[in-house]
Amino acid sequence: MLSRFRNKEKKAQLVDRDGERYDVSLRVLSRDLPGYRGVTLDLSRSGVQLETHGHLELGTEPELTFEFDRGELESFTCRAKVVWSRQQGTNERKFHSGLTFLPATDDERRQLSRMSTVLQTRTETDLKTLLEQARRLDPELERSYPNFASNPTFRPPPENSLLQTGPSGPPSTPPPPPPPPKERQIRPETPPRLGVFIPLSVTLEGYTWNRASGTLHIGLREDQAVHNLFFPECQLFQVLEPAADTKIEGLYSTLTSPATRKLQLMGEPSAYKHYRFVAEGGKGLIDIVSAPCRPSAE
Amino acid sequence: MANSTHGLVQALFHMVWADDIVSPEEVTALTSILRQLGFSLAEVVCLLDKNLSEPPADRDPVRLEELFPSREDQKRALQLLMTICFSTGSIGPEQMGYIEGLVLRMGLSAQEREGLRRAAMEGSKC
Repeated sequence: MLSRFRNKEKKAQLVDRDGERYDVSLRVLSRDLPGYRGVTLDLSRSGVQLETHGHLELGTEPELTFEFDRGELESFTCRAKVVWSRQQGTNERKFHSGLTFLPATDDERRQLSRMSTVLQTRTETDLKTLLEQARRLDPELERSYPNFASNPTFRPPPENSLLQTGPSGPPSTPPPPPPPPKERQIRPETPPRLGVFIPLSVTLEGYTWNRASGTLHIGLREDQAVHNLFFPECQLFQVLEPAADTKIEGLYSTLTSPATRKLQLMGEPSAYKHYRFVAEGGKGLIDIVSAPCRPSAE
Repeated sequence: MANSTHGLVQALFHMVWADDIVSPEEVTALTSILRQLGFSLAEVVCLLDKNLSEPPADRDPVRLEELFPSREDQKRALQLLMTICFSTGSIGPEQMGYIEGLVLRMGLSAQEREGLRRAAMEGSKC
């Protein structure tokens, strides 16, 4: 199911929409839509592309109710303005339309931001799944990604580097003298914030998530004992795979995921962490974005 | 948490961070030691999460010899630190310096030190 979500590259836009667009297929209900329903083709924080069975009048402002297919988001309603609408090919019952959201309240704006964060996390999950399949998801990769991304002194290898790829063969001219060593240059001045992998050997006993208060309690069973972890200010709770009866092999934790950075950009004052419980082989089971976890009463 | 236990936990994390590289073997050894010290699984998870996210701001060696008045407790604490050292199969100069400083301050004999080293090596194999 997750394969339906993929980050869409920027393309010629007919609508002035900011934020990343995500290919996502969700049902949309509205009494203002032909047949009272539509399906999203892509979605961003500022707008949506819809497929409907009829043409939408430009300038109209239907009230759209989005039905989310997973538990991490509640369905929500927001008004949107139709900025373009056209028939797809010769099919008289297939129309694509672009709409920009018109959030009227802070709550609607918050819902749109949250939706964007969740969709981004899903995209990351897809990427990670692919990487896991390629057996490339390991702590080293997680460490090097933020390192390269945030290290201003990083330089690509010199042209005559052994790391360079491409056609090989004897050079037609003598090679230039090797450049001076750059080891000192590429070493970051301060260590990057690394991710932490905490080995576990437990199963999921259960969880309690209070969406309104943003609190999450997770019970982990180790032999006959149950240990409870509390995740305060929980911004995201997503069960990626059925986790009951699955052996949890570890908990990955990082301060620097795209989701935590996004929360920082949105002006959230707390230092959030992105947690992921993983099964054997690094397969993601549960994603959590919250303030640092702590033990809860056992 | 008692002062002595708090100090020992702090020293254990110093040891893990001594060379700025936290290896999976060190994390596994640390997890096992923290459980032996009586921390619950949830407490261990939170301690690791908090203290392994970033290097410690204060790296001054913990005065374990002052926190543990009893000679046996001092040796026991030192053995746990050595267990972290031996978990990777090689000891870095930073870890060696930390241990040597403690050995000197505790006034351990060469024989006592060798006994601790052997015990720690056995412990790191478990």
